[in-house]
Amino acid sequence: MKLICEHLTKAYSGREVLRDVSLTLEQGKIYGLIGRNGAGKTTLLSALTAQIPITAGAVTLDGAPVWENRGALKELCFSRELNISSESGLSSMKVRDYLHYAAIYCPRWDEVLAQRLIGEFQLPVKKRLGKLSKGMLSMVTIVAALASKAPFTFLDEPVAGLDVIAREQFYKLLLEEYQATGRTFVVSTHILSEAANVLEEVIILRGGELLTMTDTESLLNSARYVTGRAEDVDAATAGLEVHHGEVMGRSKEVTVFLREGQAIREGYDLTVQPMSLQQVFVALCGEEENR
Amino acid sequence: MQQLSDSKSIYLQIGEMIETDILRGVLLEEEQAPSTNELARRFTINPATAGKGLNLLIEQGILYKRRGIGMFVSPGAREKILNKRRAAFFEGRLRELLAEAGRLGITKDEMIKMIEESDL
Amino acid sequence: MRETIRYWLLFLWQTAKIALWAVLFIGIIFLARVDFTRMSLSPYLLPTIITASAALPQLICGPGAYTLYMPLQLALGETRRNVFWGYLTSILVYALPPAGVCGALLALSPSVPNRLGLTLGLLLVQLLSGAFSSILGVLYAKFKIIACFIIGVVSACAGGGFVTINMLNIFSDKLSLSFLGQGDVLTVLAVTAAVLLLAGAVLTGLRLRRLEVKL
Repeated sequence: MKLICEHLTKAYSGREVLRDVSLTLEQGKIYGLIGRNGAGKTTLLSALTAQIPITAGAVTLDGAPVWENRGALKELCFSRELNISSESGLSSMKVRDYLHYAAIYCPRWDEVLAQRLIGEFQLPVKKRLGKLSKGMLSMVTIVAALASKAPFTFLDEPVAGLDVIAREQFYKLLLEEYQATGRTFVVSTHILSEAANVLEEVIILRGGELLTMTDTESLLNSARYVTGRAEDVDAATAGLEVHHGEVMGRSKEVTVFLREGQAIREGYDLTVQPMSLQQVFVALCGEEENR
Repeated sequence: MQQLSDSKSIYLQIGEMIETDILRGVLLEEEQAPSTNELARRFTINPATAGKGLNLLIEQGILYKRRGIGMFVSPGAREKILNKRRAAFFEGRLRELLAEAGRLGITKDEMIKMIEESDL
Repeated sequence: MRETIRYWLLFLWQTAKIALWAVLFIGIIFLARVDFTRMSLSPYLLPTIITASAALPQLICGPGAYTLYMPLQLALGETRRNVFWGYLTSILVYALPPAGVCGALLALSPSVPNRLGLTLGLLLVQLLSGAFSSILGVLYAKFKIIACFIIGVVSACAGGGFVTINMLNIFSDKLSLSFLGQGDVLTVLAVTAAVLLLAGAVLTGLRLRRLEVKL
């Protein structure tokens, strides 16, 4: 099964929040969706699951449009981030009822797994959603997503409000479920430190555009942090893809992305360091405001 | 087992960890190596990454596959790892060391003297 | 289709729970005022209580259907088409049990004239309330505050008026619903209900077509 989106554009009264996004999600991978606030992550996930009408382009599952297609929508589960304000009707809904509604719409719902996760997270099922902390709400969305057993499962900020131990716990559960079933997961997150090693591929959105979609390993492999005397850095990296250059006095630090076969020129006195996903993300998306 | 860091590709680190375990005698030859799933669970990493690390060792003949059972440490794996690390030592660490010595203005004679004085 | 039915049955059950509480509550108030010694329990009393108790919660739940239950249903993977038909069907389904129970109760009182017409009248009142709740729901979802005001005024007028008039009638033993069964009244009710249902359906359809799911 393949979920494909082609030339997807979403505009609100002329303002484009997603612009010409094309990507293919394959069965059996864990994708990370990363981007700054307002980069269009939630909008993209909503568009992929037919929860918002799109302005242009197409979203198809194995060739069939997902819009108004219950057969396709059965294969998808978008577990939204629950941001519950007092006026939201959800605030008075009990955790148990929310999960019950979710179960109705997931043909493969695994109640045993749901109960196990509720126990592990110690979720108060009789409480109303409005009474839960941000972390607890995230756990509700995690339970709904994992128990759905949907072949394509989208999690929007599942670790928001979770402490580092709960985040570890989430990624362990995600991997466990992934290994057992080979379902596809798309996880959007801001917190990249624990996520980096779990995500097989990353989809990076910047300002509503798809900046890159690549496997994490080769993205990290191609990124280098280079520091040294400004002229040495410039000479060694000339002709390469250089980001986020920062000059301090005579020194310069840049992030370089090496393409197949490229290398930083030798013979200069430079410090070349590998980068974490978080550092790569900052290098790629942090310069937005400088432009 | 050891911890992962950001300084190097995860799959390379996984490979090195298993190699280190073999060198230390934590894993003996003809013994079963940890599986992809065990490694993924243990380090909270994508199983594809863990698999890549193990495949690297298979390609180098350090591990071998037994159909339907799993991966095992090859006979002579210890020797292979030692040879590989020795080569890497000369190609990588020693070169770095010499470059740093050059930057610090340490002469060849001083280096040789230090090596001779050490109990290596 | 199965999910659609299960989902809206759950929604209706939420509404019906309020309605059952209302039956109890209003029933107790009414019955407390009845002079049992004279054994003159009006045959119209229970149908009045049931119709009022079923209609009011429906008006109250209309906005919830549009701001919560429809978006949630889409969020869980339902199509807009099914949401639309599911909700319209739920209005019809919700009208049947109260009208049916009222019809059955009236059937037990041979003294009441034109029982079939009266039952039809009560069904139309229920449908009217459903249509009204869908229009209120769309208004509420679109312009929160104005709709709150309208809902307040309408509920107060319709519910309050209905209850007070009947209360007064009960006290004076003159409670009667027989006017509902008259031909002219039935025609007016039927036409109004049809027009409002159609308007509600059109508004709902327009809203659902472009709805952006937010929870």
